Amino acid sequence: MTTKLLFIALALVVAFSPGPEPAFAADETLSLLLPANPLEGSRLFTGKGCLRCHAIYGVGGVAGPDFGQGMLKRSLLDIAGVMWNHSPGMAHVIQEQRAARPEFKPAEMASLLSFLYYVGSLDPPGDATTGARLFREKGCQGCHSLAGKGGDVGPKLDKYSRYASPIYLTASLWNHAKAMAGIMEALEIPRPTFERNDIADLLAHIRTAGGSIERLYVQPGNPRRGEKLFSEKRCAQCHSVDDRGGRAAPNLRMSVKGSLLRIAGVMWNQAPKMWKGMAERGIKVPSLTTEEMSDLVSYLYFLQFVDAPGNAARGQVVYREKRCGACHALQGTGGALGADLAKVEKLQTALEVVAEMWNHASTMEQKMLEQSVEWPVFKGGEMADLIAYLLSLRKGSAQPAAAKGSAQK
Amino acid sequence: MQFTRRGFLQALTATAGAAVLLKGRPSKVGQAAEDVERWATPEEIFVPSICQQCPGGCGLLVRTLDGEVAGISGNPLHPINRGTLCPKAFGGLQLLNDPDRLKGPMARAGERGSFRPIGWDEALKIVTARLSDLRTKELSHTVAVLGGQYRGYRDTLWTRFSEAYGTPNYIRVRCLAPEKPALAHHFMQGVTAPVGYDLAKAQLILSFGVSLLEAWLGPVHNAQAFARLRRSSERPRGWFIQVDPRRSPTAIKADRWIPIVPGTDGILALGIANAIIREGLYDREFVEEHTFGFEDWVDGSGKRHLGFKELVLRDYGLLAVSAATGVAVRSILEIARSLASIKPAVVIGERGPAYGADDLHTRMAIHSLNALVGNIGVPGGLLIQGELPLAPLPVAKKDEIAKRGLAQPRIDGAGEEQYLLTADTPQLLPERILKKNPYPVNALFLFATNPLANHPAKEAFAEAMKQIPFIVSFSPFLDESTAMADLILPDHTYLERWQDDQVTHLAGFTCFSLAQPAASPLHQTRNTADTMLGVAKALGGSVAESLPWEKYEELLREGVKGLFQAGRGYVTTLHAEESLRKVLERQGYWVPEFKDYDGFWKALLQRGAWWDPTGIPVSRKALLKTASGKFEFYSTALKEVVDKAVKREGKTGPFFSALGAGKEEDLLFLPAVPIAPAEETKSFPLRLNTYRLLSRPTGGGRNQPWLLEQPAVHVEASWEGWVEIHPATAAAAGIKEHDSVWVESAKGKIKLPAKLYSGTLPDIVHIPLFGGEGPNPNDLIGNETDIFRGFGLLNTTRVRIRRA
Repeated sequence: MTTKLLFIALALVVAFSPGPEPAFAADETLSLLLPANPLEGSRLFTGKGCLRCHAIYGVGGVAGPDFGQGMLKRSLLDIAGVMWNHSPGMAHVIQEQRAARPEFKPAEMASLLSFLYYVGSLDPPGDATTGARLFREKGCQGCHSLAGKGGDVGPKLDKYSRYASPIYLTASLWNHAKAMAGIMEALEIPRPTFERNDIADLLAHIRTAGGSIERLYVQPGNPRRGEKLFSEKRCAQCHSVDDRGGRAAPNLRMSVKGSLLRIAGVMWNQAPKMWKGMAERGIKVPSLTTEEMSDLVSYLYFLQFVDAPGNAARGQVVYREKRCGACHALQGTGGALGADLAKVEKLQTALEVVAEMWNHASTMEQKMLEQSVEWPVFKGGEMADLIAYLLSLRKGSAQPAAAKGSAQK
Repeated sequence: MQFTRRGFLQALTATAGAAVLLKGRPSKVGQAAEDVERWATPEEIFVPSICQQCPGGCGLLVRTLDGEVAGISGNPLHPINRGTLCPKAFGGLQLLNDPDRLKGPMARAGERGSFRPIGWDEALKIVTARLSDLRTKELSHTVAVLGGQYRGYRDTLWTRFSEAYGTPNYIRVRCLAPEKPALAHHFMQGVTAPVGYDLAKAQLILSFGVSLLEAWLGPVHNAQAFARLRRSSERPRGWFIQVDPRRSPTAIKADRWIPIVPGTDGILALGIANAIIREGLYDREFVEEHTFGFEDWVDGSGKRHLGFKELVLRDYGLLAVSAATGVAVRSILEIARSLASIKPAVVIGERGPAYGADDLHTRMAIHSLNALVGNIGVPGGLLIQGELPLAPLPVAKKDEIAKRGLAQPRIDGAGEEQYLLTADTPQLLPERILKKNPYPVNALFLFATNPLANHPAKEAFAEAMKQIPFIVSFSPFLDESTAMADLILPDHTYLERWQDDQVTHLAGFTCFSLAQPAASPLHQTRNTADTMLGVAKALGGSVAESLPWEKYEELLREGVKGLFQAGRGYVTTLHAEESLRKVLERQGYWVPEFKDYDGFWKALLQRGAWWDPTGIPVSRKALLKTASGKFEFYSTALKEVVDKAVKREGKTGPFFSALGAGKEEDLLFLPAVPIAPAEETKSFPLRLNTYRLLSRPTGGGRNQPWLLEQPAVHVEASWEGWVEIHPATAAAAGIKEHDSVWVESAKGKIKLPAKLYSGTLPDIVHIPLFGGEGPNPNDLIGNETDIFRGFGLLNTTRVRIRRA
């Protein structure tokens, strides 16, 4: 009996004691869409001839808009919608240039779209003159020396002149932030914050003054690895992404804005608040290697790449308003010019749908002209709704955009 | 029937062309109809290759039909030339198909100049036995290797072979070392690699004799940069000023041609500096922050030293400069004002191998203008050269014999006495070989050089070579030097062999070109790199261990791996893709293209080159590597070298005597070029100026009739050499256009047809360098040596002319 009571007591203790924090479960939809290398699509961008008409920060053609200005910083399906909307105009230019209209497999489409989204993360190159001013104004030279000038409290910064990427600087800033804060407090130096392109400008100044001819690049961050780090570094214990993770700090899907450097800047700016929260929960401030910092901010940047789930009911309205049924049938009902969209085998995922839409856009335009149907234009969210509707007509529930192994490798 | 030289060469062209079509075996024509059928639809393959006609290193696409070379065009992907070529590239076809090429190894048969064909096995046995014997007798140091104008892994291989075998005498016979910085740049900036010039972004180029559009380093790149200077949609048309004794094609295309007395370029530069300083037009911020020795200064011991400013204001007044250089004061002032006011401006200097006896200080004077206008480390100015991240090879192994051999002094005296600063001093070789000083030469290897034709000391070389018991030549042709050989191991021509090129590019980027053979060898020749790997293997021991590769391509593959692993740069590809990569690089991202080394290697062979352009600027600090970290008008590095020499040898030692005897001491370390009194000109009233034509490849190109036919439009000449004479000078000597003329110097005389050309100062005659057979200006040029470069002073000889 005593043994039985003891066992019950132990069981109760185990049941009511604070257990380990729940692990941050990866969102399957998100994970499948996160690219391993966001710049891999750059090869498609040039290889498929996009660069002939579109530029990235001034490099490339001028027939279409320059994507370097962050104009495609939208969700995956919205970018696909923009491509669709401009398809007739693009077809005209492609014809003029006597070029072949590019076609994309679903995985290629995902790669291209994530590249176009990632382009929005690129800040303008740092400006050394601005960086020199910031170096003074933010009080860096009070502690650090560069090219023989400045304080000796912190390490010399000349060695950072080998780095081509500001990500190196952000990782180092993060790792030393707490120690620096302590010294600044002791010396009564106000803790600087970094906005806009400050970190890139500072690195440009360090490169110009530091004298190294080496150039150490980083490979683009891997958002998939970043997702794992988000859990491993225990960020998820305070922060949430939608309904997953802690509630103590902001939902990052909603709050993270701006380029990679802006995100890294916010991390630095908010660091004192984070340290406090971590201390309350007994979490040690995690250190980050350059690669880890790159992966983590890339993951955070890509949070807004994934569309909010589409609404099938709204999608049905979109289907009707855009007059898709004039040509296409759904489960045997509707037009006969196009395929029955509920039966075509290769329309199982959102990526397959957008790839097929793009690949057939030229033919569809021709048919629409013959039928006097206006070219349908999708506004924000409409593409996601339409696809949700189309996929809902298939057996089972709608599959994530990149299911069926069509996710990027 | 009269058989003229021109007729002969035209016939030779036709023969060579036929040889291309008929594979050198005319009997095949009648063989069978199936051959005709095959030729009607041959398999066409384009193979990337590298032009080796000059140091430019342009990328080629070799068109092959059924494996035989049928044409040459530019590789549109290659970053050096982007598909464009100069005429020299097409001469490669005639080089390949030259009917006078050696068909296989030859051994001397009796007297020098007589040969018998032998097999490769026998040839290799002969050379290995001789080398082995010398090593056994501890005489490895008495083997000398003379190497010509080449670079990359062929240089690496010879260097390793010499080290492992045990000879300090790997001596380069070349007037240009494009992979090394000019001494002036080294002493004033402390750089150890050549500086680049951002010609394309400059708004003004002031050139002191640089044959920018003819034969300076990479003529195709230069022409492209010049085109961008002149025609840019983004900025005003740039200006180009050419200082040159001769109105060359470059001077004709310049906005302003400034004729000058040869050898006085440095004085003119200092006159321009005088005007800039006097008018307060120099870049004060740069001069104050980033230079040393501009103002007079006091050293640690309290001794006052002369500064650059005081030097030019004191010694280079415009009237004196004008009198010495022949350039009007007004012109000097106008150049100075343009240079100081048009930004960015870049000043370049190079005229042949040397400006004259004051070559170092002349170059320092010219280069000081770049600092005066703050033109270092800015777009449109001087750039830093990147380094190729090739994989380091294991250190060459040296056994005791090798160590003892390498400890011996060099035969040419480079790095000693007055030649303290030279890496090679081929000019001195003949005299030292003849005098067996410091020891006799027992074997001589000639690779890619023909000193008996192309060197100013050619007669002395001929005498010296008679004293050498064993001479091996690797030339594919029976040229003058090869005729003196005991053994000939003919190399492939460059279209037949594996090769690489490591271009030190003017625009500052690094480039590595790789080429596999475009065609099978036409004859029983062998890549010299493979030959020497075979010799090393046969010698065994540490020599074989130091050169463990069976084939040259294995060595290349090992080194190139470093490019794959570098984490930067890329195999050249379409311009649009490269531009996008550049955008990403500016953001700090580098995207690898290849998953494994095999893929990288294959792509490199298919596309022809790896390069590392970058849009990321580097600091001025990277370009100013002196002890002071500044641009040194007063070179403390040169002072250190001199001080050490004086400490070792005293002020009567050869180095100090050659450099600065009788000079005010500070003038040794400042860009001071003495204004010499007028020369005694009675016997030889004219000065000879030699120059290289765009159509003349390295080594001459006499066997390339297409190039001989390329006209020199400014004098309407082709096929044969000529002498350019000012009409007034010609009239005074009773010489008319096309007359045969004797040009005589204290050394010798040559006969050439006269071309009357008013684009020159009257007291200068000009002769193009043709190379190879025929009248050779080297017959006129004295064996004076530039103590800083170890090569001849080609433009200092005085001559006279008379009608033949």
